[in-house]
Order: sequence, then structure tokens, then C-alpha cells
Amino acid sequence: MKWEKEKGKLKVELLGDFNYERVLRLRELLKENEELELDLKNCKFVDTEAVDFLYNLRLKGKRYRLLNRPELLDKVCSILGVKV
Amino acid sequence: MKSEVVVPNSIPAIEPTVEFVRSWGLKAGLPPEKADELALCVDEVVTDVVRFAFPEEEKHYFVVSVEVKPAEVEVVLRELGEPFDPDSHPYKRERAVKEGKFEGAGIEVVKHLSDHFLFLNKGRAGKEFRIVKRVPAKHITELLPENRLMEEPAAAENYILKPVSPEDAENISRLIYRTYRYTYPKEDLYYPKRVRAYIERGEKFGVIVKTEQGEPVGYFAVIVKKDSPIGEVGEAVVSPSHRGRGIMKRMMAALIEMAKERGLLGLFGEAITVHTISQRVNAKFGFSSTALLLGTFPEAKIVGIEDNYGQRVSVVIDFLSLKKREKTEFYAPPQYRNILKEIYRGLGISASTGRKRAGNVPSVSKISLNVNSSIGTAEIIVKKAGRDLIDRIVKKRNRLFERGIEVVYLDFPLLNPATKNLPDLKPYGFVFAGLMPLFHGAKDYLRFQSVRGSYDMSKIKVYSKLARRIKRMVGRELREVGKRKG
Repeated sequence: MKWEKEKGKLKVELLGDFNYERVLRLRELLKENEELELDLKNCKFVDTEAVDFLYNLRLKGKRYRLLNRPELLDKVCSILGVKV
Repeated sequence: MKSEVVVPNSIPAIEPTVEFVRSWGLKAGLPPEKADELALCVDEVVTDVVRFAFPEEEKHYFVVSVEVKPAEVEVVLRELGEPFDPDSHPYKRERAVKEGKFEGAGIEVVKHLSDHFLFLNKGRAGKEFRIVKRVPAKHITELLPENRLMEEPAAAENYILKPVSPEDAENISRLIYRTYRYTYPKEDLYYPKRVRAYIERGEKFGVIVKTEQGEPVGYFAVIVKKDSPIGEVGEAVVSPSHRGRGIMKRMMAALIEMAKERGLLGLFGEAITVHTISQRVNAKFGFSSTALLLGTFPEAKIVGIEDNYGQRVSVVIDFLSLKKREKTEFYAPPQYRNILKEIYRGLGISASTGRKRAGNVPSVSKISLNVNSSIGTAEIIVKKAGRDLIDRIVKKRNRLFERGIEVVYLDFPLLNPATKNLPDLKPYGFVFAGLMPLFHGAKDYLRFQSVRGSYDMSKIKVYSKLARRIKRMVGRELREVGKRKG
């Protein structure tokens, strides 16, 4: 994954699907008060581990922004009845 | 075509395993978005296995196999990890929304994005996840207009019979549609792309009959069994206005010759029992009845069948040996020995009960499973019966029923001395079906069956004397397990 930190924001470009391995990496990278900007242009899917991660970020009041959402993400969210 | 990888229970192994499945999905003809859905399903299951199936810090491996079939891709994951039942961890939407707890979410997604999902707990033999994704294809009615589909070829003086080639796929789908409309139980035949794939991969061979003008009027095929050198004669169709001209007989004679040339040891037919026409044709060509399988096909409005048939369609297994077998020995529980001898006699085989002693019973049984989700049947094949046998087959059958499978067939090897010591299976809901000759690995099997619904035996029409004898036995046992109507 490619990433950079700038003014309290962590900008990440995933280089593959958003899966458990990348969730673990993001957890390590993301600091307490940082905002997350995640570019998903290389993702074909976002799995439920990643949905869990994103949803819980929001529950904890953390801000994030998703760029280039894959179509399959909306399908998964609709199955699970959540929005990320 | 089947491919398999052995995967370590480590997080970095998840992605390459998913990529392996995705690339096979694409190769099988799934459009990219469907291959991605399959890949996501596999990611969910593999992630669960890597994270939860084995104790932390311990190194283990599990197997992921992908089988590419003409109409679908099947992924099977087998592992020997800790006991787990996905049904006892269901996904709860409200809990996820309110508390951010996503337990069971992975399996929930798999159930929605796959065309069929099955989880099997095999006890000490481990666990198995099966994910099926259907390859999209166009129905013949999407490819040709109704008037073209229903065009009946003009009467002909001469007919030309040829082996089928992949180019005949559309003609075959047209013939099936013209003859049966939407009522033919093998749905794949309405999709030329799938028919073509079966022929190209050598999974079936057959003959097509055309008029001199090149219009198709007849088709008949042999579907080669994957685990044994025998084939099923089936998919017989003759255009209505060309019947009574010996086309069916010419096709059957040609198929028998082609099967011999290919070195097959036998042919069998699954003759439907809503009428006896197919059974009579089989009998004319020397086929002999060996089993009665209940509910093999979903209830379909087959041409000529009464509107409210009211039960799934049962079939008689008719078998034709293509290589002479003089005699055989077999091992079966006492109550089935006489009927099996009669069935063997029908095949021209002199059968006697073997005298070998059964060896020690192993603790774990060796069992394999074939699921045909498109028609709602499954086959459990017992290679070796262990002490866990009854527990495993009952659990497996129940699980299959919960997943919408309507009939479970259960096969025991007749050459294995342990088969004579089988307990009475009726208390577990399994009744006699008959003999499946040369069915798995060219060996004879004794088949039982367990059905979800009840059956009215008077609606099951059989032709031969042997089939009537088998039907009586099946009916009697069905009554004992409380699954017989009337």
C-alpha cells in the first residue's frame, strides 16, 4: 500500500483488495486523531473485515473518506444493512 | 477441470489464494464482476479459516480446490481445524448497526453472492465449505425469435445421422425447446453456450439427426461419468412430426457403438417413471433395470404428464453391460442379498455372496460427496465405513436437507466385506434403492436413499419385471420410514 501523512491526515492508496491483511496494516498506521483518506481504485472488493473496520471508525467518531469505491462495496453494504 | 492448492494458515496466504480462484473463475467464463464476487466469497471463508480454525502460533494447512464445469465453478475448502458451525454464529443486522459487531458477516455475504453455499461438518474428518457460482449464459429464447424456434422441419424421405460437434449446440437447444418448451428437467440444454462446453470438453458425446435440408430433428447423447468408465444415455429428443420413423432406434444403436469404440464398460439410463416409454426403449436394446431412484428430478410439467403430478420425478436405472462379466462376488446385508442376485442375473452376471471376513472397523469413515444443486440431489459415497459412519451420514443428510437438497443417495461398495455388516438404515431414514453397477471407479455399489418429501408409489410407473420387484421393495421400506403417501 502507498501512503503519506499530511496535516493530521493519512492518505492511503491500496494496491489490491481491501482485505483483512490491509485492515491490520491500516490499524498500525492510523493514529488516534488522524483523518483517513482511502483510495480504493485498485480494489475489486472490500471484504467484511474491512467493512467492520470502516464502520467502527465511524462509530468511534473518526473521520474517513473513500475515493473510487468499487461497485461490489455497495452490494456488500446492502447485504449487511450498513453504510460505510 | 480441477485445480487444487494447499494453503498455510497465515494471513499473507489469503490474497494469493483468492487470486488463484479469481483467475480460474475468469477462465471458466465468469464475467469480471462475477469472478470478483466469487473471489470475495473465497476471501471471506479463507479469512475465517486462517483467523479462527486453528490455535494461534500453530502451523497448519488446508486445501482449496476449484472445479470448472460447463455451467458453473465450484470451490471447495477442506480443513481439519477446530469444530465450528456457522449456523450458530448468524449475522445480526441490528447488532452490527448499533454495536458495530460483525460476527457472521462473512458467511452472510457468501450466502448472498454465491449461487449455492454449503457447509459440512465432517466430525473428525474436518470441515468442508462449498461455494458454487453459475456461469451466465443466454437462454435459447434470448438468441432466436419464437417463430424461428417453433418452426417444425418439413417431412423428409431421408435422415442423416452424424456425431454431434460443438457447432450443433444451438440446434440441440432449439430441438429441446421445440419439443419440450420449458419442461425439460436438465436446464443446461436450453443454453447453447453450456451445451457447446460439454461437447468441447468431451464430457458428453452423441448423435444428431438432420433432414436432407440440414434441419435438426433428433438428438441423443451419452454423458460420460467422471469417476468411472461408464456413460449415461440421455437427453433424447425427436421432433414431434418426425416420430415413428425409427430415428430413436437408429440413434440408440449408434450411441452403443460409439460407447464401445470409446472403451466404456457400460451404459445406463435414468428413465423417468411418469410413463414407461423410455424404459421400453431401453429394454428393447437389452438394458436391464437395477435401481429405482426416488425424486431424482424436480417436478416438471413433462409433455404428457398430468398437470398436478404432485411429487418429484423418480427414475429407473437401466443398465447395459458393454463388456461381458460372467460372475461376481458381493457383500450385502442379508435382507438385500436375494434381490441383488436377481438384479445381477438381469445383467447376465452370476452373483454369489463373498466369504471374506470384514476387517477391523476404523474409527473414521472415508466418505465423499457429490452435490447437484441444480436439481436438488446429492450422492454420499462411502469408501470405507468407520465407527463414526451413521453419525456422519445422518448429520450430512440433515445439513443437505436444510440447504434445500431434496434427495440424498447413499452408496456402499459391494466388494467390501464390511458392507455385509451394515446396520439397518431405515431407522435413520434411508431406504433401499438398488444396484449401481460399475458406478464409482468401475465398482458395483449398493444404493440407499433418503427423501425429504413423501411419495405416492402408484404414480411411479415401471415397465420391467425386475423394476416392479425393486419398486415393491422400495415402497415397503418407504412405508416403514413414514415417507409413503397413500
